Amino acid sequence: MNIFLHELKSYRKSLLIWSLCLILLIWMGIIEFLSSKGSNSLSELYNNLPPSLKALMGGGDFNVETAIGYYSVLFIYIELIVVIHAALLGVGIISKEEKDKTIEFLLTRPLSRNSVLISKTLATFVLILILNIVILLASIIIFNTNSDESIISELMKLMVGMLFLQILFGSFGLFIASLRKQAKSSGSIVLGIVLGMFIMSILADLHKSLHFLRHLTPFRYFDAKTLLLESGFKLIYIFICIILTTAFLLLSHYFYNKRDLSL
Amino acid sequence: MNVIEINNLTKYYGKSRGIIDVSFNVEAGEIFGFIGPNGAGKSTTIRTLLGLIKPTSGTAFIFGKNCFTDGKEILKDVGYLPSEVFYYDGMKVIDLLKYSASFYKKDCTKRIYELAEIMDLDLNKKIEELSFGNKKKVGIVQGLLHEPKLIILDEPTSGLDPLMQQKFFELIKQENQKGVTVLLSSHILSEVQKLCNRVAIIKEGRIIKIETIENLRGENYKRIIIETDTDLSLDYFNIDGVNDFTINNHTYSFLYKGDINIIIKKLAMLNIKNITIHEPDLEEIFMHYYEKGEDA
Repeated sequence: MNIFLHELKSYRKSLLIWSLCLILLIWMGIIEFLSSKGSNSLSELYNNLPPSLKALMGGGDFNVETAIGYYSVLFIYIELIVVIHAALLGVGIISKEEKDKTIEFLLTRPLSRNSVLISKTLATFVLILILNIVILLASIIIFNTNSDESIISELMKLMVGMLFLQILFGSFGLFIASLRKQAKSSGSIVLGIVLGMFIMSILADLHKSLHFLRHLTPFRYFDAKTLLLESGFKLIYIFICIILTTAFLLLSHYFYNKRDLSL
Repeated sequence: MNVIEINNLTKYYGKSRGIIDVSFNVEAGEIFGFIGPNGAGKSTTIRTLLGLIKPTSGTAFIFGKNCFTDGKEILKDVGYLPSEVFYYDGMKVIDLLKYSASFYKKDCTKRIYELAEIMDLDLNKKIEELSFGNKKKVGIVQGLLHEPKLIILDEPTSGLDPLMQQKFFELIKQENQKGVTVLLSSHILSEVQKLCNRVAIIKEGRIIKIETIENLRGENYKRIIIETDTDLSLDYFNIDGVNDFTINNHTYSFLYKGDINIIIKKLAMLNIKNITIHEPDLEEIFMHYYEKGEDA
């Protein structure tokens, strides 16, 4: 419990900065949306984009003149940012103790490594959830109030999907940091994999032969296109997500208990 | 009763040596010294005992509990001061100490203030503002605040000024008188000599000697230094019991262990300008063990 609270406290500032940046992004989104609304130019522009550029914006046939259509395009980048946040948080919360050499202090308290890892995992999930809720509230306040139709239920759907991804990548970060002694490079590895997955999610729409990629990258499991334009949540993707998350968490315990700490 | 029991503990980092076949026991209530130069394996041994690194082979027990499986239970009664202390920079000293105390199921507040008073530590500073020596003081308070039954000190005095060193040793002695067992690792012999009952000497990962301080000194070594007018033949002192022989101009210096009469007769045959015979300090004996190599 004390580690859990200690972590929440030490991540206050960082969470505040991430939140502010995302709120700013959403706010800039609404300004652009409102200024181009009614002039038809935005949807014309969007619809006339070559498919490769459209893929960069989610590849869906969104009506970007509606608030939710516009938000869906913005959402891809919101999601990328929160996933990076979750993954780096997962890595950092474990590896910072070794990078700052505080691990020797922490693990000479009467604690099992398991309990340290559990506290840190819980703290990671709570911080992730807070960021998710902040984005939901900011989106409702900023977008819903500037839109004629209510988009709350769509936003909720997107946020639930996003939470799955955040938890998955947060667990992935925890796993990498638990596996590796080299605390300094773990962050770059995780970031590389996140960006790789993101690029895969874009490539999947570029050519028919690359469509299979959408099953490999979690970024396509809960994207706006699937959740809002197609069938909604797909059970198989939820299932894969839960399996992977559980595997990462169990493996992180296995490796963290077994390895030497870097002192 | 043994508080610490180490049997054939071996640790390799990949292929490089950590420690090899380290075995020793620390009895309840004693102050046990663990001496060796940097890189000999002192910290590796201690960190393995504390479960921070995993041994390649061997066993270790503290309070009769297995160090590699019952760490959580053991650490309740262990106070540890690492050689270099690192804490969360953004925290205040008092918050760090309270955070540390929160892991033990007892109220340590009074002891924190007592110890801070003794060590002259400012509790309201931030960790990042502290000098190396002051961080070490935080380490001392942190190591003692839960009134442990076993104190493990790894190079405890580095960074402390002489006055603080003295206060710190007083503190350790007081704890010891209350029945607390102490394992003190150091490369500074004088502090080990002052505090410890027994010592283990470690060299290149192996224990080369476990001895009481009294016996170490009482092995009847003499440091003999003579000055002569003339050159002596080099093998004049080539007899059993002579070690660490050095020549500087006409000054001959060596350690002698054995029948005093033999060496006196030898010396009596020479024309000597000056002579000193004294008990070597531990430092000299220690160096002697180190230079002698494998057969020590």
